[in-house]
Amino acid sequence: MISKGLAIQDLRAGVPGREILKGITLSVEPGEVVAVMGPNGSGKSTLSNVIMGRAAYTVTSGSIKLDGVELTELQTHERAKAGVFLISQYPEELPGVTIDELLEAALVSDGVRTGGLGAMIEDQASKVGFPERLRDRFVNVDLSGGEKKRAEVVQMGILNPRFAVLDEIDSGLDIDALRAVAKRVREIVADSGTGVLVITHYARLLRELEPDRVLVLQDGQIKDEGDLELAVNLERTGYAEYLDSDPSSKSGSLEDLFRL
Amino acid sequence: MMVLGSDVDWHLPQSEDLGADRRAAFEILAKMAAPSAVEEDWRYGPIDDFSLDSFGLAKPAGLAEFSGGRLELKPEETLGLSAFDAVVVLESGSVVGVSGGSGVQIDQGWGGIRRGANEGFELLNFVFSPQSILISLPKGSSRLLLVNRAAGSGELALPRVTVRVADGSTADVVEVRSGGDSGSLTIPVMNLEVGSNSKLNYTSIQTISVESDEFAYLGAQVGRDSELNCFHLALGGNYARLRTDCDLVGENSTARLLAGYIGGGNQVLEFRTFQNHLARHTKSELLYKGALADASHSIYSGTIHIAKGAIGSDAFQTNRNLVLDEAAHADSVPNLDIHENDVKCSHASAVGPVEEDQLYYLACRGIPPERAERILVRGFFKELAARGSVDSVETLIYGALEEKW
Repeated sequence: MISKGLAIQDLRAGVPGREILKGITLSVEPGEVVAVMGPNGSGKSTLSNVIMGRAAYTVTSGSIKLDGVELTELQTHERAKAGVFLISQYPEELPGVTIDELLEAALVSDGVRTGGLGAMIEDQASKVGFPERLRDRFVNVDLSGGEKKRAEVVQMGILNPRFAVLDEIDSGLDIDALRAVAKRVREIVADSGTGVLVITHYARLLRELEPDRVLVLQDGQIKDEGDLELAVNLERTGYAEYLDSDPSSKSGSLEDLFRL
Repeated sequence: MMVLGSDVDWHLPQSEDLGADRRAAFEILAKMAAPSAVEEDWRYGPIDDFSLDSFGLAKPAGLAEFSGGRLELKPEETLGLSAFDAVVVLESGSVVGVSGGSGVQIDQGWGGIRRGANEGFELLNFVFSPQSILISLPKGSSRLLLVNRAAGSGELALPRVTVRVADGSTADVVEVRSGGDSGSLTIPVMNLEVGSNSKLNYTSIQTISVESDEFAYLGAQVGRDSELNCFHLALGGNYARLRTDCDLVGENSTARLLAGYIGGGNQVLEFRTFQNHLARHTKSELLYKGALADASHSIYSGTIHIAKGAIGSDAFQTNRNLVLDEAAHADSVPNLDIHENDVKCSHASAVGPVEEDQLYYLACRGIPPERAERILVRGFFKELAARGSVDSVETLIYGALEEKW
């Protein structure tokens, strides 16, 4: 039986010479919102890059499947076509490229007809409270942090992905933008059954998004699983309890120096 | 006779009434060595492979009176534009057709801006051009189309035109440089004289054959409280070079110098620019953007010169190049030459492939790399084209990209 949603199994990956994800297993079912929290350097961004298949990262073992389709052999654009979507921390600016052109190219490469695209964009923009004239701007150029994330959610609403990674989308957002973005993501999840993996440092976003599960990523491994309460506690107490208890194995520690 | 170090079989035009200035220039030319890559002005291009020996002077075949003549224009010469007050057609340096008038005055005259003795090809134009055309635009507003057809096979053509914009006037001038047979050389000189309290939009579209060469000179003088907007599109030529000298001579004068260029095959597209701030509170903004495919090569070398006394000058210079293929390359050399303290001045240059992060972003939206690159390269030119005053520029750019890359 083919499992629905995203299934990551024993995933080991990194950059040449350094393993960053050290055996990750997780799943996100359709319509489920799963949060991954972790300190800087725990592998959060690597996880999103590896799911999208960014060229600088290599998978050494394990698998990433979406609706039973193995993604690790696919190029980034093929993964997107298979139904994976990414909103990153700092959405790229595309001078001279309008959202109409971008989405038309995305939909055409998906084999979808693009009639009425302009009206669709305006409809989606109004749903996320984006100020008018989104279509006159170039993609993400001269937009505030909040406007960029709203614009990205407009794209998400139109492309209707099977699965989306939201990688630290809360950075640079004021509370109104945060709420608007989270509310719209929740609507898309409810309407389309999109599975969402949300990567963040902060419980603030998760309070708005209300994830079904919260995972703790530390040193390239999933160290804990819980619900929103876990996220709230983590924000208060930090990640100390997940740090490796054997200090001698920590790179860069004083012990390292003494062993030299 | 000896001209720029070459022994050529040419004759001086209308030698009996050459005039003192042109005679003096001829004396300089006879002794002057050919431009070479030893000189800073020419060091990045293939000038050393070039020789005047093989060219014959294009025969003067112009109208004696500046009206009527041959005015059949090809679609690529009119760019879908209309409503011009006057159209002037030059072929191999001679005026072969003039239409319209409504106050546009066309004369022969050897005045106009000159760059002095250091540019041999410009001197050569001054001495050997069959007709120096002075187009005086009327007070008020006017639109002029100038079609400048390049030389025939084996020929050297020397078109020379000055456009004068009266005080308190606005003008749109579109120059199309087209044609050019295999193994030909055209040295067009265009001088723009903008009076005070005036505005000139000058668009030059260069689409000559990729088997012909061009060394073009654009000189501009901008008067007090005036504005010059130049937009140059360079698509054609085997070795095509444009030198621009923009002199801000009047207080509060402004110049915007924009250019787009797309190289393919073995084309060499070269630009030498001078933004000369010679009066107080003058502003200049330069933006040159190019894309290089195949084994093409672009050279941008620009100087912002701020003269002593040009207090409050504000100058900006940007050159960006997209290198689309491994064998293509771009040289970008910005320079500042500042002789006054109370000024604002900056420059920026970039050479590189389409940005990896932007490609990744588009890939994350399901757009394959090849398509993504095309979207980004079109976007790169879109902002530039939007600032031009001729709509068809964008279409020409996209067409050239399709053809060359």
